[in-house]
Amino acid sequence: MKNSLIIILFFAAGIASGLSGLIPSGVLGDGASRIALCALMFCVGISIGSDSTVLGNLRRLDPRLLLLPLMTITGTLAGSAIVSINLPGRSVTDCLAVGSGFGYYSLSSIFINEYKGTELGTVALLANIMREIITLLGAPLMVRWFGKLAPISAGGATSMDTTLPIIVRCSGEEYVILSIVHGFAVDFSVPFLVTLFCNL
Amino acid sequence: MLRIVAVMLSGIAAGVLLRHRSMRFLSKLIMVLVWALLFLIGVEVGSDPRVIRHIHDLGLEALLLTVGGLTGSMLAAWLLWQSISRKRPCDEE
Repeated sequence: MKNSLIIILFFAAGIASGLSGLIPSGVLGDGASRIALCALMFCVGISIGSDSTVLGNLRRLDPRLLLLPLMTITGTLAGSAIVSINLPGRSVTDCLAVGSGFGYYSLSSIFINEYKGTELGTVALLANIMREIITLLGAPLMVRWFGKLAPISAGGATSMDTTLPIIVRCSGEEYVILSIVHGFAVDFSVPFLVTLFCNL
Repeated sequence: MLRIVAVMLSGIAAGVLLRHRSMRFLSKLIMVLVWALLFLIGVEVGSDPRVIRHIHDLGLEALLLTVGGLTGSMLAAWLLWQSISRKRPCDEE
């Protein structure tokens, strides 16, 4: 929660300085954000590659539970596609691109901003922050209505970090490993799916 | 687009090679990069009057997409939960 607040603060500070004309958008331009994006992707790659715990934990899971990341991805995309019918201004692929952030708001909104412009980038940032916040607040109800796997799915890519504590509290200790593996798998799919839907 | 995926894949390769080094600084670096990028996006949004004028609509769209995506993923998780709980008795647990 604290992290999302800091993110929103930086975003808001950017908006404020853009509005006031303090930093004209042309000065920093595409170059700066493109270089920062590449640096970010490289760092994200290193953190995925250097994490050796995930593979070891995989073997201890009920193999059927490994379907959960797939359920999360197809469920989210189906839901986003259905919503897109009611959003006349947005194409299906735009909505799928926003949906495939799976709560990973920083990366997905940066990507979408780069490929589809600030408008959809803003929608992606807001939508994915909302996903995290709703999961944090609603996890107990999700367990009651949709079973113990629901908050993990709802958490999406964040089920391995920010929403992990609340998932453990609501679903139980025995879902820690699943939650981490799920977050890892969904996390990994974000850059691929977002770029795919942005380029369709 | 392909270049960014390639950058990430080479990062993964580097991460596998660096597996035994301490990577504690990395998460901090990622955080700072994310802050910088979101600040830059904010600047772009702030200097784009079209986005500012429609910020309410954009927020509503975001909420609808979130609710849709969440509902879909939770229904899918519920399906898996049902099929697994039904077979619970023969589980090794």
